Amino acid sequence: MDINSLKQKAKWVRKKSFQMQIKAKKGHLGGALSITDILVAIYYSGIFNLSHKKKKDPERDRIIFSKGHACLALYCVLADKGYFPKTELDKYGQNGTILGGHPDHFIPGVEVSSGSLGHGLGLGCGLALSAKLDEKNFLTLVILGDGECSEGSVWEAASFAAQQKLSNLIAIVDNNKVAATSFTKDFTGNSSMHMKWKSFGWNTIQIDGHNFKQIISAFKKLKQMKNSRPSIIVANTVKGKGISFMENDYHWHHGVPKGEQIQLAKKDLGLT
Amino acid sequence: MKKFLKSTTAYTDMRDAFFEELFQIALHDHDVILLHADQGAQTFQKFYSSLPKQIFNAGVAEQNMISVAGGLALSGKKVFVHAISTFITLRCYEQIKVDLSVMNLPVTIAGVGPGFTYGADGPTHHSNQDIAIMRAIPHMRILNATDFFNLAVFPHLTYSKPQLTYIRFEKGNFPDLYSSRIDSIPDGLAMLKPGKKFCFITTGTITHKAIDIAKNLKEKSDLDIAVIDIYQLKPLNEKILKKLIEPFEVVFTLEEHLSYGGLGTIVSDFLADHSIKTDFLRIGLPDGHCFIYGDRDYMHKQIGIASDQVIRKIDKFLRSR
Repeated sequence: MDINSLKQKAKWVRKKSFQMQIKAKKGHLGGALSITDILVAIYYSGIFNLSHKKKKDPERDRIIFSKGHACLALYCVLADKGYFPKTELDKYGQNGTILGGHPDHFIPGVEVSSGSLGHGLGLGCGLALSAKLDEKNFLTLVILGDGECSEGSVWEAASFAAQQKLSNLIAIVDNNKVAATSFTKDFTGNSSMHMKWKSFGWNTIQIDGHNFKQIISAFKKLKQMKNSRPSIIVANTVKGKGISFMENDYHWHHGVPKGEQIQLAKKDLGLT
Repeated sequence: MKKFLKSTTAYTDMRDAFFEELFQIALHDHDVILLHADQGAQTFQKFYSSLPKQIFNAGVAEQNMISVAGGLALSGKKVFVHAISTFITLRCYEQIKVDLSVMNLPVTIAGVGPGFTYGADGPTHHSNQDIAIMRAIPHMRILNATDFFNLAVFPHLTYSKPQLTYIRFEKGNFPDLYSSRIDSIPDGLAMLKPGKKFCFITTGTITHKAIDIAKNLKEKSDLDIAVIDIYQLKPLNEKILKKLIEPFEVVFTLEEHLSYGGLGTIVSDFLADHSIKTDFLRIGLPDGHCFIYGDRDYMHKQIGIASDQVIRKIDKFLRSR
Protein backbone atom coordinates (compact mmCIF):
# COMPACT_ATOMS: atom_id res chain seq x y z
CA MET A 1 0.00 0.00 0.00
CA ASP A 2 1.43 3.42 -0.93
CA ILE A 3 1.79 6.25 1.56
CA ASN A 4 -1.33 8.12 0.45
CA SER A 5 -3.40 4.98 0.86
CA LEU A 6 -1.88 4.42 4.30
CA LYS A 7 -2.86 7.97 5.26
CA GLN A 8 -6.43 7.36 4.08
CA LYS A 9 -6.57 4.11 6.05
CA ALA A 10 -5.33 5.89 9.17
CA LYS A 11 -8.02 8.54 8.73
CA TRP A 12 -10.65 5.81 8.64
CA VAL A 13 -9.20 4.12 11.76
CA ARG A 14 -9.34 7.42 13.66
CA LYS A 15 -12.91 8.11 12.58
CA LYS A 16 -14.07 4.60 13.43
CA SER A 17 -12.28 4.59 16.80
CA PHE A 18 -13.99 7.86 17.68
CA GLN A 19 -17.40 6.56 16.59
CA MET A 20 -16.95 3.39 18.63
CA GLN A 21 -15.99 5.37 21.72
CA ILE A 22 -18.93 7.75 21.35
CA LYS A 23 -21.40 4.91 20.86
CA ALA A 24 -20.06 2.90 23.80
CA LYS A 25 -19.49 6.01 25.93
CA LYS A 26 -16.19 4.43 26.98
CA GLY A 27 -12.73 3.70 25.64
CA HIS A 28 -9.21 5.07 25.71
CA LEU A 29 -9.26 7.23 22.62
CA GLY A 30 -6.18 9.42 23.25
CA GLY A 31 -3.68 6.56 23.06
CA ALA A 32 -5.57 4.89 20.21
CA LEU A 33 -5.14 8.04 18.15
CA SER A 34 -1.42 8.25 18.91
CA ILE A 35 -0.70 4.63 17.87
CA THR A 36 -2.96 4.61 14.80
CA ASP A 37 -0.35 5.40 12.13
CA ILE A 38 2.08 2.82 13.49
CA LEU A 39 -0.61 0.13 13.57
CA VAL A 40 -1.67 0.97 10.03
CA ALA A 41 1.94 0.76 8.88
CA ILE A 42 2.43 -2.62 10.59
CA TYR A 43 -0.67 -4.23 9.11
CA TYR A 44 -0.93 -2.60 5.67
CA SER A 45 2.64 -1.92 4.53
CA GLY A 46 3.27 -5.54 3.60
CA ILE A 47 6.57 -5.56 5.47
CA PHE A 48 5.44 -8.10 8.05
CA ASN A 49 4.12 -11.62 7.59
CA LEU A 50 0.55 -10.98 8.76
CA SER A 51 -2.74 -12.14 7.35
CA HIS A 52 -6.05 -13.26 8.77
CA LYS A 53 -5.58 -16.37 6.63
CA LYS A 54 -2.35 -17.12 8.52
CA LYS A 55 -3.50 -16.51 12.06
CA LYS A 56 -2.35 -20.00 13.10
CA ASP A 57 0.69 -20.10 10.82
CA PRO A 58 3.75 -20.89 12.99
CA GLU A 59 5.82 -18.55 10.80
CA ARG A 60 3.53 -15.53 11.14
CA ASP A 61 5.03 -12.46 12.75
CA ARG A 62 3.70 -11.89 16.27
CA ILE A 63 2.21 -8.54 17.28
CA ILE A 64 2.02 -8.06 21.04
CA PHE A 65 -0.17 -5.08 21.83
CA SER A 66 1.14 -4.41 25.31
CA LYS A 67 -0.55 -1.01 25.72
CA GLY A 68 -3.88 -2.81 25.59
CA HIS A 69 -5.99 0.18 26.61
CA ALA A 70 -5.45 1.68 23.15
CA CYS A 71 -7.29 -1.25 21.55
CA LEU A 72 -9.89 0.86 19.71
CA ALA A 73 -7.39 1.38 16.90
CA LEU A 74 -6.26 -2.26 17.00
CA TYR A 75 -9.84 -3.53 16.72
CA CYS A 76 -10.46 -1.31 13.69
CA VAL A 77 -7.33 -2.53 11.92
CA LEU A 78 -7.99 -6.22 12.68
CA ALA A 79 -11.61 -6.01 11.52
CA ASP A 80 -10.62 -4.15 8.37
CA LYS A 81 -7.96 -6.75 7.64
CA GLY A 82 -10.55 -9.53 7.90
CA TYR A 83 -9.65 -11.11 11.22
CA PHE A 84 -13.28 -10.74 12.34
CA PRO A 85 -16.39 -9.11 10.81
CA LYS A 86 -16.51 -5.33 10.82
CA THR A 87 -19.99 -5.53 12.32
CA GLU A 88 -18.29 -6.52 15.60
CA LEU A 89 -16.87 -2.99 15.82
CA ASP A 90 -20.36 -1.56 16.27
CA LYS A 91 -20.91 -3.90 19.22
CA TYR A 92 -17.83 -2.58 21.08
CA GLY A 93 -18.75 -1.72 24.64
CA GLN A 94 -22.18 -3.38 24.35
CA ASN A 95 -23.31 -6.30 26.49
CA GLY A 96 -22.04 -9.57 25.05
CA THR A 97 -19.44 -8.03 22.71
CA ILE A 98 -16.26 -9.97 21.94
CA LEU A 99 -14.37 -6.65 22.03
CA GLY A 100 -13.68 -5.65 25.61
CA GLY A 101 -12.07 -2.49 26.92
CA HIS A 102 -8.75 -4.32 26.72
CA PRO A 103 -7.92 -6.99 24.15
CA ASP A 104 -8.08 -10.67 25.03
CA HIS A 105 -6.30 -13.57 23.40
CA PHE A 106 -9.41 -15.22 22.00
CA ILE A 107 -10.11 -12.29 19.65
CA PRO A 108 -8.92 -13.33 16.19
CA GLY A 109 -5.60 -11.62 15.51
CA VAL A 110 -4.86 -10.86 19.15
CA GLU A 111 -1.86 -12.92 20.27
CA VAL A 112 -1.99 -12.27 24.03
CA SER A 113 -4.34 -10.74 26.55
CA SER A 114 -3.23 -7.31 27.68
CA GLY A 115 -4.53 -4.46 29.77
CA SER A 116 -2.33 -4.51 32.82
CA LEU A 117 0.82 -2.71 31.71
CA GLY A 118 4.34 -4.09 31.72
CA HIS A 119 3.58 -7.64 30.58
CA GLY A 120 3.97 -7.57 26.81
CA LEU A 121 7.72 -7.25 26.49
CA GLY A 122 8.41 -10.30 28.70
CA LEU A 123 5.87 -12.35 26.76
CA GLY A 124 7.50 -11.10 23.57
CA CYS A 125 10.89 -12.21 24.88
CA GLY A 126 9.48 -15.72 25.39
CA LEU A 127 8.10 -15.82 21.85
CA ALA A 128 11.34 -14.48 20.37
CA LEU A 129 13.40 -16.96 22.39
CA SER A 130 11.24 -19.85 21.19
CA ALA A 131 11.77 -18.73 17.58
CA LYS A 132 15.52 -18.74 18.13
CA LEU A 133 15.46 -22.18 19.74
CA ASP A 134 13.30 -23.63 16.97
CA GLU A 135 15.20 -21.78 14.22
CA LYS A 136 12.03 -20.13 13.01
CA ASN A 137 12.14 -16.86 11.13
CA PHE A 138 9.18 -15.00 12.57
CA LEU A 139 9.60 -11.59 14.18
CA THR A 140 7.97 -10.50 17.41
CA LEU A 141 6.83 -6.88 17.61
CA VAL A 142 5.83 -5.45 20.98
CA ILE A 143 3.92 -2.16 21.17
CA LEU A 144 4.53 -0.30 24.42
CA GLY A 145 3.36 2.99 25.84
CA ASP A 146 5.83 5.49 27.25
CA GLY A 147 3.83 5.60 30.50
CA GLU A 148 4.05 1.81 30.55
CA CYS A 149 7.83 2.06 30.52
CA SER A 150 7.64 3.12 34.17
CA GLU A 151 6.88 -0.52 35.01
CA GLY A 152 10.00 -2.24 36.35
CA SER A 153 9.08 -5.42 34.52
CA VAL A 154 9.68 -3.64 31.20
CA TRP A 155 13.31 -3.18 32.17
CA GLU A 156 13.66 -6.73 33.45
CA ALA A 157 12.57 -7.80 29.98
CA ALA A 158 14.81 -5.22 28.27
CA SER A 159 17.79 -6.67 30.12
CA PHE A 160 16.80 -10.27 29.33
CA ALA A 161 16.30 -9.56 25.62
CA ALA A 162 19.74 -8.01 25.27
CA GLN A 163 21.42 -10.77 27.26
CA GLN A 164 19.73 -13.48 25.17
CA LYS A 165 20.59 -11.64 21.93
CA LEU A 166 16.97 -11.56 20.77
CA SER A 167 17.64 -9.90 17.44
CA ASN A 168 14.23 -11.14 16.26
CA LEU A 169 12.47 -8.87 18.76
CA ILE A 170 11.37 -5.34 17.85
CA ALA A 171 9.71 -3.07 20.39
CA ILE A 172 7.95 0.16 19.53
CA VAL A 173 7.33 2.81 22.15
CA ASP A 174 4.33 5.03 21.46
CA ASN A 175 6.13 7.99 22.99
CA ASN A 176 3.18 10.36 23.29
CA LYS A 177 4.54 11.76 26.57
CA VAL A 178 1.12 11.87 28.17
CA ALA A 179 -0.24 9.40 30.73
CA ALA A 180 -3.64 9.11 32.46
CA THR A 181 -3.47 11.98 34.91
CA SER A 182 -0.32 13.89 34.00
CA PHE A 183 2.53 14.19 31.55
CA THR A 184 4.84 11.19 31.68
CA LYS A 185 7.82 13.37 32.62
CA ASP A 186 5.95 14.37 35.79
CA PHE A 187 6.64 10.91 37.20
CA THR A 188 9.69 9.81 35.23
CA GLY A 189 11.68 13.03 35.17
CA ASN A 190 13.27 14.34 32.01
CA SER A 191 15.29 11.23 31.22
CA SER A 192 15.68 10.30 27.57
CA MET A 193 13.59 7.31 26.47
CA HIS A 194 15.99 6.65 23.64
CA MET A 195 19.08 6.71 25.87
CA LYS A 196 17.52 4.36 28.39
CA TRP A 197 17.05 1.66 25.74
CA LYS A 198 20.45 2.31 24.26
CA SER A 199 22.07 1.82 27.66
CA PHE A 200 20.34 -1.58 27.89
CA GLY A 201 22.14 -2.66 24.71
CA TRP A 202 19.32 -2.27 22.18
CA ASN A 203 19.46 -0.95 18.62
CA THR A 204 17.48 2.27 18.80
CA ILE A 205 15.81 4.43 16.18
CA GLN A 206 13.89 7.63 16.87
CA ILE A 207 11.16 8.64 14.47
CA ASP A 208 8.10 10.81 14.08
CA GLY A 209 5.40 8.21 14.76
CA HIS A 210 2.94 9.97 12.48
CA ASN A 211 5.24 10.07 9.45
CA PHE A 212 4.67 6.95 7.35
CA LYS A 213 7.88 7.41 5.43
CA GLN A 214 9.87 7.37 8.67
CA ILE A 215 7.86 4.50 10.17
CA ILE A 216 8.34 2.28 7.12
CA SER A 217 11.97 3.19 6.73
CA ALA A 218 12.56 2.22 10.39
CA PHE A 219 10.78 -1.12 9.94
CA LYS A 220 12.81 -1.95 6.85
CA LYS A 221 16.07 -0.93 8.47
CA LEU A 222 15.43 -3.04 11.57
CA LYS A 223 14.31 -6.07 9.58
CA GLN A 224 17.65 -5.98 7.76
CA MET A 225 19.71 -5.32 10.89
CA LYS A 226 22.46 -7.91 11.07
CA ASN A 227 23.69 -7.56 14.63
CA SER A 228 22.51 -9.68 17.55
CA ARG A 229 20.71 -6.97 19.48
CA PRO A 230 17.00 -6.50 20.02
CA SER A 231 15.70 -3.29 18.49
CA ILE A 232 13.44 -0.49 19.55
CA ILE A 233 11.71 2.31 17.69
CA VAL A 234 11.04 5.31 19.89
CA ALA A 235 8.11 6.80 18.00
CA ASN A 236 7.44 10.37 19.01
CA THR A 237 3.70 10.78 18.77
CA VAL A 238 0.88 13.03 19.87
CA LYS A 239 -1.74 11.74 22.26
CA GLY A 240 -5.16 12.46 20.80
CA LYS A 241 -3.66 13.01 17.32
CA GLY A 242 -6.23 14.20 14.84
CA ILE A 243 -8.70 15.79 17.24
CA SER A 244 -7.34 19.24 17.98
CA PHE A 245 -8.68 19.78 21.49
CA MET A 246 -7.52 16.32 22.59
CA GLU A 247 -3.93 16.65 21.43
CA ASN A 248 -1.34 16.53 24.25
CA ASP A 249 -4.02 16.69 26.91
CA TYR A 250 -4.11 13.90 29.48
CA HIS A 251 -7.82 14.41 30.11
CA TRP A 252 -8.39 12.48 26.90
CA HIS A 253 -6.57 9.38 28.06
CA HIS A 254 -10.00 7.90 28.62
CA GLY A 255 -12.21 10.97 28.49
CA VAL A 256 -15.31 10.73 26.30
CA PRO A 257 -16.35 13.88 24.38
CA LYS A 258 -19.77 15.32 25.04
CA GLY A 259 -22.07 17.89 23.42
CA GLU A 260 -20.18 20.50 21.47
CA GLN A 261 -16.95 18.53 21.80
CA ILE A 262 -18.47 15.79 19.65
CA GLN A 263 -19.19 18.26 16.88
CA LEU A 264 -15.68 19.71 17.09
CA ALA A 265 -14.15 16.24 16.93
CA LYS A 266 -16.31 15.29 13.96
CA LYS A 267 -15.18 18.41 12.14
CA ASP A 268 -11.52 17.60 12.81
CA LEU A 269 -11.96 14.02 11.64
CA GLY A 270 -13.87 15.00 8.51
CA LEU A 271 -17.08 13.38 9.66
CA THR A 272 -19.27 16.39 8.90
CA MET B 1 2.65 -41.98 32.89
CA LYS B 2 6.19 -42.97 32.06
CA LYS B 3 8.24 -43.72 35.14
CA PHE B 4 11.85 -42.66 35.59
CA LEU B 5 12.00 -43.32 39.30
CA LYS B 6 15.33 -44.26 40.74
CA SER B 7 16.24 -46.48 43.67
CA THR B 8 15.43 -45.37 47.18
CA THR B 9 18.97 -44.31 47.89
CA ALA B 10 19.45 -42.21 44.76
CA TYR B 11 18.45 -38.88 46.26
CA THR B 12 19.76 -37.08 49.26
CA ASP B 13 18.06 -33.76 48.61
CA MET B 14 14.46 -32.99 47.67
CA ARG B 15 15.62 -30.59 44.96
CA ASP B 16 17.57 -33.33 43.23
CA ALA B 17 14.53 -35.62 43.27
CA PHE B 18 12.59 -33.01 41.34
CA PHE B 19 15.25 -31.75 38.97
CA GLU B 20 16.85 -35.12 38.25
CA GLU B 21 13.46 -36.44 37.16
CA LEU B 22 12.88 -33.29 35.14
CA PHE B 23 16.28 -33.76 33.52
CA GLN B 24 15.33 -37.28 32.47
CA ILE B 25 12.13 -35.93 30.90
CA ALA B 26 14.03 -33.09 29.21
CA LEU B 27 16.51 -35.54 27.70
CA HIS B 28 13.62 -37.14 25.83
CA ASP B 29 11.76 -33.96 24.90
CA HIS B 30 13.69 -30.93 23.74
CA ASP B 31 10.62 -28.72 24.09
CA VAL B 32 11.04 -28.94 27.87
CA ILE B 33 12.58 -25.68 29.07
CA LEU B 34 13.75 -24.82 32.59
CA LEU B 35 13.99 -21.15 33.62
CA HIS B 36 15.39 -20.19 37.00
CA ALA B 37 15.76 -16.90 38.81
CA ASP B 38 19.44 -17.29 39.70
CA GLN B 39 18.56 -20.27 41.88
CA GLY B 40 20.67 -23.39 42.04
CA ALA B 41 20.36 -27.13 42.42
CA GLN B 42 22.99 -29.77 41.79
CA THR B 43 21.21 -31.10 38.71
CA PHE B 44 21.38 -27.72 36.98
CA GLN B 45 24.97 -28.46 36.00
CA LYS B 46 23.74 -31.49 34.06
CA PHE B 47 21.25 -29.30 32.23
CA TYR B 48 23.93 -26.72 31.43
CA SER B 49 26.40 -29.31 30.16
CA SER B 50 24.02 -31.68 28.34
CA LEU B 51 21.00 -29.54 27.47
CA PRO B 52 22.28 -25.95 27.25
CA LYS B 53 19.39 -24.87 25.03
CA GLN B 54 16.88 -26.05 27.59
CA ILE B 55 17.97 -24.09 30.67
CA PHE B 56 18.13 -20.32 31.14
CA ASN B 57 19.05 -18.18 34.09
CA ALA B 58 16.46 -15.38 33.91
CA GLY B 59 18.32 -13.50 36.62
CA VAL B 60 16.89 -11.97 39.76
CA ALA B 61 13.79 -10.97 37.86
CA GLU B 62 10.89 -13.25 38.73
CA GLN B 63 8.25 -11.09 37.05
CA ASN B 64 9.99 -11.25 33.70
CA MET B 65 10.73 -14.94 34.14
CA ILE B 66 7.01 -15.70 34.40
CA SER B 67 6.24 -13.54 31.35
CA VAL B 68 9.01 -15.22 29.35
CA ALA B 69 7.59 -18.58 30.41
CA GLY B 70 4.22 -17.45 29.07
CA GLY B 71 5.73 -16.48 25.72
CA LEU B 72 7.57 -19.79 25.45
CA ALA B 73 4.41 -21.71 26.36
CA LEU B 74 2.48 -19.83 23.66
CA SER B 75 4.94 -21.38 21.21
CA GLY B 76 4.32 -24.86 22.56
CA LYS B 77 7.28 -25.14 24.92
CA LYS B 78 6.78 -27.14 28.12
CA VAL B 79 8.09 -24.68 30.62
CA PHE B 80 9.22 -25.17 34.23
CA VAL B 81 10.23 -22.11 36.25
CA HIS B 82 12.11 -22.19 39.53
CA ALA B 83 12.91 -19.83 42.40
CA ILE B 84 12.36 -19.57 46.15
CA SER B 85 8.67 -20.23 46.92
CA THR B 86 7.78 -16.86 48.33
CA PHE B 87 9.52 -14.94 45.52
CA ILE B 88 8.05 -16.98 42.69
CA THR B 89 4.51 -16.56 44.00
CA LEU B 90 4.14 -13.18 45.69
CA ARG B 91 6.68 -11.19 43.69
CA CYS B 92 5.16 -12.06 40.34
CA TYR B 93 1.57 -12.73 41.31
CA GLU B 94 0.05 -10.57 38.60
CA GLN B 95 2.28 -12.11 35.93
CA ILE B 96 1.00 -15.52 37.03
CA LYS B 97 -2.57 -14.26 36.74
CA VAL B 98 -2.30 -12.32 33.48
CA ASP B 99 0.43 -14.07 31.52
CA LEU B 100 -0.32 -17.65 32.54
CA SER B 101 -3.77 -18.10 34.06
CA VAL B 102 -5.76 -15.70 31.85
CA MET B 103 -4.45 -17.53 28.78
CA ASN B 104 -4.56 -20.90 30.59
CA LEU B 105 -0.96 -21.77 29.75
CA PRO B 106 0.38 -25.02 31.25
CA VAL B 107 3.54 -23.70 32.92
CA THR B 108 4.90 -25.46 36.02
CA ILE B 109 6.03 -23.14 38.80
CA ALA B 110 8.45 -24.94 41.10
CA GLY B 111 9.16 -23.13 44.36
CA VAL B 112 11.75 -24.25 46.86
CA GLY B 113 11.41 -23.38 50.52
CA PRO B 114 7.81 -23.56 51.70
CA GLY B 115 6.98 -22.50 55.24
CA PHE B 116 10.08 -22.13 57.38
CA THR B 117 12.59 -23.89 55.11
CA TYR B 118 14.53 -20.64 55.22
CA GLY B 119 13.49 -20.03 58.80
CA ALA B 120 16.64 -18.31 59.98
CA ASP B 121 16.58 -15.94 57.01
CA GLY B 122 13.69 -13.94 58.38
CA PRO B 123 10.16 -13.13 57.23
CA THR B 124 11.22 -12.02 53.74
CA HIS B 125 12.12 -15.66 53.06
CA HIS B 126 9.25 -17.36 54.90
CA SER B 127 6.63 -18.78 52.60
CA ASN B 128 3.53 -18.90 54.74
CA GLN B 129 0.85 -17.44 52.48
CA ASP B 130 1.75 -18.92 49.11
CA ILE B 131 -0.95 -21.61 49.17
CA ALA B 132 -3.59 -19.01 50.02
CA ILE B 133 -2.74 -16.79 47.08
CA MET B 134 -2.02 -19.49 44.53
CA ARG B 135 -5.31 -21.13 45.36
CA ALA B 136 -7.06 -17.94 44.22
CA ILE B 137 -5.57 -18.26 40.71
CA PRO B 138 -8.03 -19.91 38.30
CA HIS B 139 -6.82 -23.14 36.60
CA MET B 140 -4.00 -23.51 39.15
CA ARG B 141 -3.09 -27.01 40.34
CA ILE B 142 -1.18 -26.99 43.65
CA LEU B 143 1.16 -29.81 44.66
CA ASN B 144 3.00 -29.89 47.98
CA ALA B 145 5.76 -32.48 48.40
CA THR B 146 5.98 -34.71 51.46
CA ASP B 147 9.09 -36.73 50.67
CA PHE B 148 11.27 -37.21 47.62
CA PHE B 149 9.19 -40.15 46.45
CA ASN B 150 6.03 -38.19 45.83
CA LEU B 151 8.07 -35.16 44.74
CA ALA B 152 9.90 -37.26 42.13
CA VAL B 153 6.56 -38.09 40.51
CA PHE B 154 5.40 -34.47 40.31
CA PRO B 155 7.38 -33.45 37.19
CA HIS B 156 6.05 -36.55 35.42
CA LEU B 157 2.55 -35.65 36.53
CA THR B 158 2.72 -32.09 35.20
CA TYR B 159 4.48 -33.21 32.02
CA SER B 160 1.94 -35.93 31.23
CA LYS B 161 -1.10 -33.92 32.33
CA PRO B 162 -0.22 -30.35 31.35
CA GLN B 163 -1.91 -27.67 33.43
CA LEU B 164 -0.81 -24.47 35.14
CA THR B 165 0.75 -25.87 38.31
CA TYR B 166 2.47 -24.66 41.46
CA ILE B 167 4.76 -27.17 43.16
CA ARG B 168 6.30 -26.37 46.52
CA PHE B 169 9.10 -28.45 47.95
CA GLU B 170 11.81 -28.44 50.59
CA LYS B 171 15.56 -28.52 50.57
CA GLY B 172 17.16 -31.49 52.32
CA ASN B 173 15.84 -34.95 52.97
CA PHE B 174 12.80 -36.37 54.77
CA PRO B 175 11.85 -39.93 55.76
CA ASP B 176 10.19 -42.18 53.22
CA LEU B 177 6.40 -42.18 53.26
CA TYR B 178 5.56 -42.79 49.63
CA SER B 179 7.94 -45.37 48.13
CA SER B 180 5.24 -48.02 48.52
CA ARG B 181 2.51 -45.71 47.24
CA ILE B 182 4.01 -44.48 43.97
CA ASP B 183 1.23 -45.81 41.76
CA SER B 184 -1.51 -44.03 43.68
CA ILE B 185 0.21 -40.62 43.73
CA PRO B 186 -2.13 -39.22 41.05
CA ASP B 187 -4.89 -39.56 43.71
CA GLY B 188 -3.58 -36.39 45.34
CA LEU B 189 -3.90 -37.59 48.92
CA ALA B 190 -3.28 -40.65 51.06
CA MET B 191 -4.04 -41.97 54.52
CA LEU B 192 -0.61 -42.60 55.97
CA LYS B 193 -1.71 -43.84 59.36
CA PRO B 194 -5.08 -45.34 60.26
CA GLY B 195 -6.88 -44.28 63.42
CA LYS B 196 -10.14 -44.23 65.32
CA LYS B 197 -12.51 -41.32 65.88
CA PHE B 198 -9.82 -38.66 65.33
CA CYS B 199 -8.01 -37.58 62.21
CA PHE B 200 -5.15 -35.26 61.31
CA ILE B 201 -5.19 -33.76 57.84
CA THR B 202 -1.80 -32.35 56.89
CA THR B 203 0.20 -31.18 53.90
CA GLY B 204 3.90 -30.93 53.11
CA THR B 205 6.71 -32.10 55.32
CA ILE B 206 4.92 -31.23 58.56
CA THR B 207 3.10 -34.50 57.84
CA HIS B 208 6.10 -36.26 59.37
CA LYS B 209 5.48 -34.39 62.60
CA ALA B 210 1.78 -35.28 62.53
CA ILE B 211 2.67 -38.97 62.23
CA ASP B 212 5.13 -38.72 65.12
CA ILE B 213 2.50 -37.00 67.28
CA ALA B 214 -0.13 -39.59 66.38
CA LYS B 215 2.20 -42.49 67.17
CA ASN B 216 3.27 -40.88 70.40
CA LEU B 217 -0.32 -40.33 71.52
CA LYS B 218 -1.27 -43.89 70.70
CA GLU B 219 1.55 -45.18 72.86
CA LYS B 220 0.87 -42.89 75.79
CA SER B 221 -2.92 -42.48 75.73
CA ASP B 222 -6.08 -43.93 74.29
CA LEU B 223 -6.08 -41.46 71.40
CA ASP B 224 -5.64 -43.16 68.05
CA ILE B 225 -5.38 -40.37 65.49
CA ALA B 226 -5.32 -41.12 61.77
CA VAL B 227 -3.13 -39.06 59.42
CA ILE B 228 -4.22 -38.03 55.94
CA ASP B 229 -1.69 -36.18 53.79
CA ILE B 230 -3.08 -33.96 51.03
CA TYR B 231 -0.25 -33.33 48.58
CA GLN B 232 -2.51 -32.09 45.80
CA LEU B 233 -4.29 -29.17 47.41
CA LYS B 234 -6.03 -28.00 44.24
CA PRO B 235 -8.03 -29.47 42.72
CA LEU B 236 -8.89 -31.41 45.83
CA ASN B 237 -9.78 -35.06 45.35
CA GLU B 238 -13.08 -34.62 47.16
CA LYS B 239 -14.36 -38.07 46.36
CA ILE B 240 -11.51 -39.86 48.13
CA LEU B 241 -11.31 -37.33 50.95
CA LYS B 242 -15.01 -37.69 51.67
CA LYS B 243 -14.63 -41.45 51.90
CA LEU B 244 -11.51 -41.25 54.06
CA ILE B 245 -12.83 -38.84 56.68
CA GLU B 246 -16.29 -40.37 56.95
CA PRO B 247 -15.51 -42.54 60.03
CA PHE B 248 -13.99 -39.72 62.08
CA GLU B 249 -15.72 -37.59 64.70
CA VAL B 250 -13.01 -34.95 64.94
CA VAL B 251 -10.75 -33.50 62.23
CA PHE B 252 -7.60 -31.51 62.97
CA THR B 253 -5.61 -29.77 60.26
CA LEU B 254 -1.92 -29.14 60.81
CA GLU B 255 0.16 -26.95 58.50
CA GLU B 256 3.24 -24.75 58.41
CA HIS B 257 1.31 -21.96 56.71
CA LEU B 258 -1.01 -19.28 57.99
CA SER B 259 -3.93 -21.06 59.63
CA TYR B 260 -6.24 -19.22 57.24
CA GLY B 261 -6.13 -19.43 53.46
CA GLY B 262 -4.17 -22.67 53.29
CA LEU B 263 -4.94 -26.27 54.17
CA GLY B 264 -7.24 -25.36 57.09
CA THR B 265 -9.39 -23.21 54.84
CA ILE B 266 -9.35 -25.76 52.02
CA VAL B 267 -10.61 -28.45 54.41
CA SER B 268 -13.20 -26.18 56.05
CA ASP B 269 -14.48 -25.18 52.59
CA PHE B 270 -14.71 -28.85 51.73
CA LEU B 271 -16.61 -29.67 54.94
CA ALA B 272 -19.02 -26.77 54.35
CA ASP B 273 -19.54 -27.56 50.67
CA HIS B 274 -20.46 -31.14 51.49
CA SER B 275 -22.46 -30.35 54.66
CA ILE B 276 -20.17 -32.64 56.64
CA LYS B 277 -20.81 -32.04 60.31
CA THR B 278 -17.72 -32.81 62.31
CA ASP B 279 -15.77 -31.16 65.09
CA PHE B 280 -12.91 -29.33 63.45
CA LEU B 281 -9.76 -27.55 64.63
CA ARG B 282 -7.26 -25.70 62.44
CA ILE B 283 -3.67 -25.66 63.70
CA GLY B 284 -1.25 -23.48 61.81
CA LEU B 285 0.56 -20.18 62.03
CA PRO B 286 -1.06 -17.13 63.62
CA ASP B 287 -1.71 -13.90 61.71
CA GLY B 288 1.63 -12.08 61.70
CA HIS B 289 5.20 -12.16 60.49
CA CYS B 290 7.76 -14.26 62.29
CA PHE B 291 10.86 -12.47 63.53
CA ILE B 292 12.27 -15.49 65.31
CA TYR B 293 15.50 -16.88 63.88
CA GLY B 294 16.56 -20.45 64.31
CA ASP B 295 16.10 -23.98 63.07
CA ARG B 296 12.68 -25.39 62.32
CA ASP B 297 12.18 -27.09 65.71
CA TYR B 298 13.15 -23.93 67.53
CA MET B 299 10.80 -21.83 65.43
CA HIS B 300 7.93 -24.26 65.89
CA LYS B 301 8.44 -24.08 69.63
CA GLN B 302 8.47 -20.29 69.67
CA ILE B 303 5.45 -19.97 67.43
CA GLY B 304 3.35 -22.61 69.18
CA ILE B 305 3.34 -25.64 66.87
CA ALA B 306 5.97 -27.83 68.53
CA SER B 307 4.71 -31.38 69.08
CA ASP B 308 3.88 -30.92 72.79
CA GLN B 309 2.09 -27.65 71.99
CA VAL B 310 0.04 -29.31 69.25
CA ILE B 311 -0.90 -32.07 71.70
CA ARG B 312 -2.02 -29.48 74.26
CA LYS B 313 -4.16 -27.73 71.61
CA ILE B 314 -5.79 -31.05 70.72
CA ASP B 315 -6.35 -31.91 74.36
CA LYS B 316 -7.89 -28.51 75.10
CA PHE B 317 -10.15 -28.78 72.06
CA LEU B 318 -11.33 -32.27 72.94
CA ARG B 319 -12.07 -31.24 76.51
CA SER B 320 -14.10 -28.29 75.29
CA ARG B 321 -16.39 -30.41 73.09
